[in-house]
Amino acid sequence: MLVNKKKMASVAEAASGQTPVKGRSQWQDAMGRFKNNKASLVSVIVLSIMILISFLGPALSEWDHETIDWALTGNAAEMGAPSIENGHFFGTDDLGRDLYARVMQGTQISLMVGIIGTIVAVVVGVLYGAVAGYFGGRVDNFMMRFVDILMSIPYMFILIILFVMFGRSVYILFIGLGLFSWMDMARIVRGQTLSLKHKEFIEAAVAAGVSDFTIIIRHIVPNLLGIVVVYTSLMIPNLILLESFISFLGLGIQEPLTSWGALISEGAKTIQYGTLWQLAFPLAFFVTGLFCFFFIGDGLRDAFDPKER
Amino acid sequence: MTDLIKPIFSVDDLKITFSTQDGPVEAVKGVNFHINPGECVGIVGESGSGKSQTFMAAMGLLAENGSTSGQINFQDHNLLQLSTTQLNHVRGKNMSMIFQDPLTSLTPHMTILQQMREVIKLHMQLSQKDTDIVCHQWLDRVRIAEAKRRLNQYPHELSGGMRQRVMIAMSMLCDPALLIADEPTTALDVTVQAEILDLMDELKREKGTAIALITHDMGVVARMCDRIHVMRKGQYVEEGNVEDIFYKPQHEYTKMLLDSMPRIDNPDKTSHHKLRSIDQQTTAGDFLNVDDVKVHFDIKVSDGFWPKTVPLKAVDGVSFKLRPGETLGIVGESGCGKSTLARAVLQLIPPTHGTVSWLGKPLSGLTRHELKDKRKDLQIVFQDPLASLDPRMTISDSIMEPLVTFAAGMPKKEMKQQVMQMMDRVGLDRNMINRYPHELSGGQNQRVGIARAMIMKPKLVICDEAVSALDVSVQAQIIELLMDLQEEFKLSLLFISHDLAVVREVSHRIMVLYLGRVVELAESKDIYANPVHPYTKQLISAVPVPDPKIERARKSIKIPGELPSPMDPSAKLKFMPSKLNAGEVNYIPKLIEHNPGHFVAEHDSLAELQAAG
Repeated sequence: MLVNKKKMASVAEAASGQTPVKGRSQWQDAMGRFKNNKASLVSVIVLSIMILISFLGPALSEWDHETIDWALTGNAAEMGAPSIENGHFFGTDDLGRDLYARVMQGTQISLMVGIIGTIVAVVVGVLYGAVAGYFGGRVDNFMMRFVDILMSIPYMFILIILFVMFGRSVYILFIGLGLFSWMDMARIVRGQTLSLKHKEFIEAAVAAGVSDFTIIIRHIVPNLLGIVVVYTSLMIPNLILLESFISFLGLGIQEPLTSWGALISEGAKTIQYGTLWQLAFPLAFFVTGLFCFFFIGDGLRDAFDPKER
Repeated sequence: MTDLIKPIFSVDDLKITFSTQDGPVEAVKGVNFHINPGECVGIVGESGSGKSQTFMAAMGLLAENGSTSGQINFQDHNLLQLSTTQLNHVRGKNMSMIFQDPLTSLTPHMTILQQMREVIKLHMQLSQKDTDIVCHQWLDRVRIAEAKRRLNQYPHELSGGMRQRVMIAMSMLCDPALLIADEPTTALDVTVQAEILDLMDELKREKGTAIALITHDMGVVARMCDRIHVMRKGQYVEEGNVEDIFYKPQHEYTKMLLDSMPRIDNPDKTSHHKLRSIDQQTTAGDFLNVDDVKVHFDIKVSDGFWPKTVPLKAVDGVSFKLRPGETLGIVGESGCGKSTLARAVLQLIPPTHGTVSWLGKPLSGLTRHELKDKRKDLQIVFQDPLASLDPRMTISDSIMEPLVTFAAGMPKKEMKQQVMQMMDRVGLDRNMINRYPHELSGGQNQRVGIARAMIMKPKLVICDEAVSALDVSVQAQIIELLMDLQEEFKLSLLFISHDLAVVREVSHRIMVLYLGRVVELAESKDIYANPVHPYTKQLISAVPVPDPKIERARKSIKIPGELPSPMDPSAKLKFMPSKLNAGEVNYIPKLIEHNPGHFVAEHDSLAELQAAG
């Protein structure tokens, strides 16, 4: 540590002989640190490729996700194996639908559910929790009791009502998931904020005349990022799994549309007939996706913590 | 001499290296020293000099990435080669340690007795009954009042000074031959510090216990030690008898340490050489006027089914006026409400009663928006330099924050320019703009804090223990900087500190607080030359002087009794028990002008107070 710092300082001094050090913002610093993290950088690339092929991939195949290849129907175990010749790159499912196209389509849905649900949860949860924690007292009491009430309502019940009222669609699913996933985040953030707001640097900001809202955005939220990112990287897989559960109940994503969760549960059911590919391909995508999210989450947390430098 | 007396503890060519991610760091680079029985050896040095690590190695408490070479001999054992089991027989029994923070070194969920029993159970064969008797005796010896009751209390029920006394009692339970005291009084108030030091000195004389005293405070060393080692960057730069070190220091570093230590007894150096004298004719006018400010917190006391609230009077009716360009020192021990008062002046905590007016206009009752304009002129520098900076912001962003708030229209480039200038002004290298607080030293961080407070060119800066967490040499630099800035920007300062020697240096006038009330307010020279109130006398007499002859001859004034709880309604009559005895429990001691400009709260005489105890 010491040696390195000295080295850096001497390098900086040597460099500064000609040019003064330019100021960098917090975000620039964070980006720099993120780029230095190999694992998360690779994860970003892998995830981007995955998103790209999930949208471009279907164009490569002659089959789409809902057309049944009647030649193979009912004989998936023997003839549905992956093959380049008949155009089923990942094989077919029991009904004879092309697995490649279905995995691509499922990837789109699952990633969307995971990412959109999480964005809603993070934005709403962090702001709600930070405001409640920062203002404290009656505001906090009111806001958190509201969360308690929402939490005590079974979310499945509300989801069903939503689906009944507005019809089944992917968008209603997003709204439903977003509506419920922010509450845990709000709780965690509020707890952290309570301990943060008594720190001297917050008091220093108040004394410097910074307004409440700016303090929340500029001082509280960045200092919460560590825990938020960790929780988020746990939440994405949860949401993806939750979606498959909802779909399994017959709500949410409906056939012929599909998702990772639906494909995996189908593949797991049919594994006894020797159709290993039906499980292997969706599972590989699912696992890769989750790993990417975990590594990116780790990288983000370290990037926003200057002490990691 | 040393040939005749066998040293009880000796260290030969000890090296301690920590392996870190960026290569090995040598914390201790080959030190030699010994301690004879019944001797007190002081290890003096600033933070990070490796003074504690030597003894951590001896106790087997080094961090896991530390490795040692050399020898530490204690009673014919080489401690570095003992296994943990063998070490457990030695440490705690023959050699024990007192840590700096009495708050964290006692287990919070065990009573004092349980914790003391544990020590005895490990090292001595005693029946439960004898154990309890020994514990009780030791608490008596360290002069804890009502020892019997205290034994069954939990650490949080005791005050800091009492906890440290319990720590000493615990470490003395098995009559150790060596007591290692690592900054034993740094976290304590001066009056308590004086008592703890006296206690340790007494144990040394009575029991012949050898003491290794690790400290940064030259005053404490002067009082306690026979021999001194001055440590810097892992090496001893000077060692010798206490007289030699204090009266004939050889090494530059020792001289610097002695020079930078503010001395309360020095008549030539009553105030800092850069402190401008204030024109006596200047009237306070409408600069800052604090009138009968009270801050009460409601504390819930669980009393049966319905919890009651009892007001905790953190600040209880404080009034003062500040003149432009003046420094008012506010002193008092922990819990006297000095920080709360500072926050009430800045309206960070709204006062429960009374008004604070700034340039003739009251600050209390303003909306946030109106207050924001005033904040430009009123700034604060905090005690803990690291905690007062946002860990996720570069220091330039932190310094720039007031600019962003008050001069939002200013182009970014100009802001950066101003930040650079301010960094130059407070002695920070321009190349450090992208550094984060944790990459800087305490002194540098405090400079950042000062730069942030100064960038809007305020008229009043409150320094809340701004130099207390810093090493003496750094402290001297920061004080110098504050004095320069005061001169340059015609600043007024409210200088809050528990360190009377420092306050005397920087202040024009001094206000002494006790449990939220002013007990004495006078010119700086006046208050140190002729303190009137018993509490002021006690405070001043408790400050150690870095001069062994004077320090040992001096006797500190003791007023019997513990610090009362601020929730106790009779606390304000601590120095006026005559009224209490007369049944006038609600009497409030008035502030009386003793001499022109010298205000003293009503009190009984010192002799009466001491007689009462």
